[in-house]
Amino acid sequence: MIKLVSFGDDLVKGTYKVHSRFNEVVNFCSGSSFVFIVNNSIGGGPFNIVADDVKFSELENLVITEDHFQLNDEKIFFEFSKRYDSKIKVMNFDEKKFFQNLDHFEKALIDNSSGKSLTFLLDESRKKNFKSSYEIELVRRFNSALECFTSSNFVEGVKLIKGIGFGLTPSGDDFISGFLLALNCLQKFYAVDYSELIRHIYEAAKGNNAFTNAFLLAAKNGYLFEKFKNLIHSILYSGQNEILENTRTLISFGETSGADQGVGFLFGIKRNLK
Amino acid sequence: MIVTGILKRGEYFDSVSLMLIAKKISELEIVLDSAAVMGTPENKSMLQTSGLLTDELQNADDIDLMIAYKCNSQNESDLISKKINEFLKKSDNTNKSSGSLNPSSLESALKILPDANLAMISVAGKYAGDEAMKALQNGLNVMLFSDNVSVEKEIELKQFAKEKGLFVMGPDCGTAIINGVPLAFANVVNRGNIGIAAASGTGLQEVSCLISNSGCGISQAIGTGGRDVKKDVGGIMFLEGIKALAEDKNTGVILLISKPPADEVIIKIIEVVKKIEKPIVGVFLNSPIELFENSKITIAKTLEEGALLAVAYSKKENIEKVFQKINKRDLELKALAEKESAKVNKNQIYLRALFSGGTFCDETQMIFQNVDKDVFSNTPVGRVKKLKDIWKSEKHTIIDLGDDEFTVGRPHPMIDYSTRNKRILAEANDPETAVILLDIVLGYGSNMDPLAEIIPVLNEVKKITSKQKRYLPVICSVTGTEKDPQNRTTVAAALSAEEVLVMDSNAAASKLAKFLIEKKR
Repeated sequence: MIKLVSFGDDLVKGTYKVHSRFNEVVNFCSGSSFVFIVNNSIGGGPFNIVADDVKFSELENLVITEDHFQLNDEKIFFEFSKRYDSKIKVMNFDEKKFFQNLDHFEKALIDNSSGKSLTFLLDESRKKNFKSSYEIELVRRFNSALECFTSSNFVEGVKLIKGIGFGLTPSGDDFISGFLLALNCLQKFYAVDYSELIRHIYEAAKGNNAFTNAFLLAAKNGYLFEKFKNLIHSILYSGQNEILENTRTLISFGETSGADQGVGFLFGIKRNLK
Repeated sequence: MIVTGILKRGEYFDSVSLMLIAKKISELEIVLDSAAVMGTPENKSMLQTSGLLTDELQNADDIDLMIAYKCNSQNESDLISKKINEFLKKSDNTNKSSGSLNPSSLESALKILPDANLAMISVAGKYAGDEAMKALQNGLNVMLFSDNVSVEKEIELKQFAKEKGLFVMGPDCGTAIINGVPLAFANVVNRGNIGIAAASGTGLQEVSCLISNSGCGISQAIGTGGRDVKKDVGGIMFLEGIKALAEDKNTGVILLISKPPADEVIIKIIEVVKKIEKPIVGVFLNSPIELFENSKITIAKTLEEGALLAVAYSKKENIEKVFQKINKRDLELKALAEKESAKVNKNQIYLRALFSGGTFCDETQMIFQNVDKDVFSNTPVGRVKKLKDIWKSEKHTIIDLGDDEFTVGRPHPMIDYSTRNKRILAEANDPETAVILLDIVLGYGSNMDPLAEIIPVLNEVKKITSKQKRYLPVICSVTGTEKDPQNRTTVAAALSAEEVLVMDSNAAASKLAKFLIEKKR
């Protein structure tokens, strides 16, 4: 019997079919909506249903209704206490601490992430890991995009990097979703309005890949997956050790996805505060 | 030159598998250039710029996997294509295995294997404790590979297990050999009459291999996890392990391995062994030997000494011969150190020891305690000082690359050599490095092709030092046996061919490094 651990706060009602299946995750889709059935080690998210005792290899059908979901033939009711909150709440924003901790995050990211991640944007020496002609072109495009960002030409920059790079969600899209999350956070920290910029970036980044679009949409709306939310919490309120731990947890997501999103977040914060 | 594109329609591989496949393709010698990415329009444009976009890949959609590569001939292309399909198939099997042999819970696993008596648990730490309790309640012994289990949970599990007459090996237990079956990081060793209780994974691997290579064998090797012998847990399973080995009719000699136990635990160990008739050897690295005076335990200073003493007891030989043999061998090491030190420049004065095995790091620190006041480590013991920055060596530096700081988000360095390889090159570039000391641990769980990882780096070291007109000795111990899948003789011979000074044990390797450093002072 499936045991519900948590369910996302942005689940869309509908009848879903399997999109892709891995050891600890089954991704379901219905049109442009996604629901991810995951185990505890993946954690919560706006579209995640976290459950124990799931036979991932046997999942075929999913129906989401107002008060329950049905996986194959098993019906499980949503309990409000298990609703995952994907929004971050900022109570006391200590700018000095935040910036100190951001430096710890940057260092942790560089020290711990895969050689093929976008951390070469933070540490030039990591460019040496990019050797094939495809990888060299990837570096070149990111450098061009950063020049666009520096001159506030965000949409052009986004167009240069969207859809490029490694992984199921390409590195460029991960970077953009991190950047969008940064803008959403800055809105909360400084009570500024970036909604137009967020909308433009999202529109420029959207592609034909519904799976990637789902992540971009979540980032546009400021919905955070648990690993990223924990990281931002530690940057706001904790110290170096917790940041290191949460950075390591974040970058364990995919080969480079977590790290790439982290780099996008750092750039989003630093660039826009300049 | 030929460019080939392979399009896998609608096939999803997780990012880790995709990167692994890409890495394997690029490592094929006949591949001149390659990429493995999803079929987004932007990635297609990137492949075009890189000269890797073929007609077939033009048709890729966002959800398709594109693999492109460049090589010299059609024959090579066919060969590469075959290899790629093998990689994909393997990855697919790894990720999507299903059916009754892939149970999703302990309950369903027990339905498939109702006679099982041991559960191996390797899930995230915060869930591992509950899974372990579930296994114990089902009457199973537990090997708890997971770390990050709270000490309170560990005590609860171990007390419950003790009451039920079961074992909990771990948390953070990486090695055990039960009824001849190596579990997790373990070697293929002879079976015999030496039983081991160990609160140290690498320590257990080292002694079990040395025993096996000496012609003797292991009855049982019980790991407990390092925290078991500390004050909080109080040695619950270490003590139960000793009692079980004492009662085991196939065990004639007991060998105990641990980093320093708490004083209270030492007292309990001494009390428990009083009633045991079998010979007992103890290696308690960095513990004050005087605590064991008048106990029944023959104390060994190093893992090597412990293994050889256990062998002597097993063969019913005079143990004095062990000390004589080690002394004689140490004289040979001193002579070798003298020759080596004559080859290095006068400003090369420091040791740089880079370990994948944590216990080796401790053992080497112990051997280096009195060599110099400036010995540093990321996991200091005794008089050794804490490194300010783990990524940068200071004077004599002894590093455990398996420590958490180095491994989160990456496989253990016994599997993934990349972090250590980078560090080896950094140390080789330092003109003050007098000797590099390494370990290579073979067996199940470890890298299956260590030579492919280490030899290119050793060649790079030679290039660096010869360019700077220096000689830099590299000393390496190889922990393993002939029966290990990697084969110890093959690995040791290949390293020797690269002028590495290969030693049978970490103690011997560390002593050679120590003698060499002392000659330089």
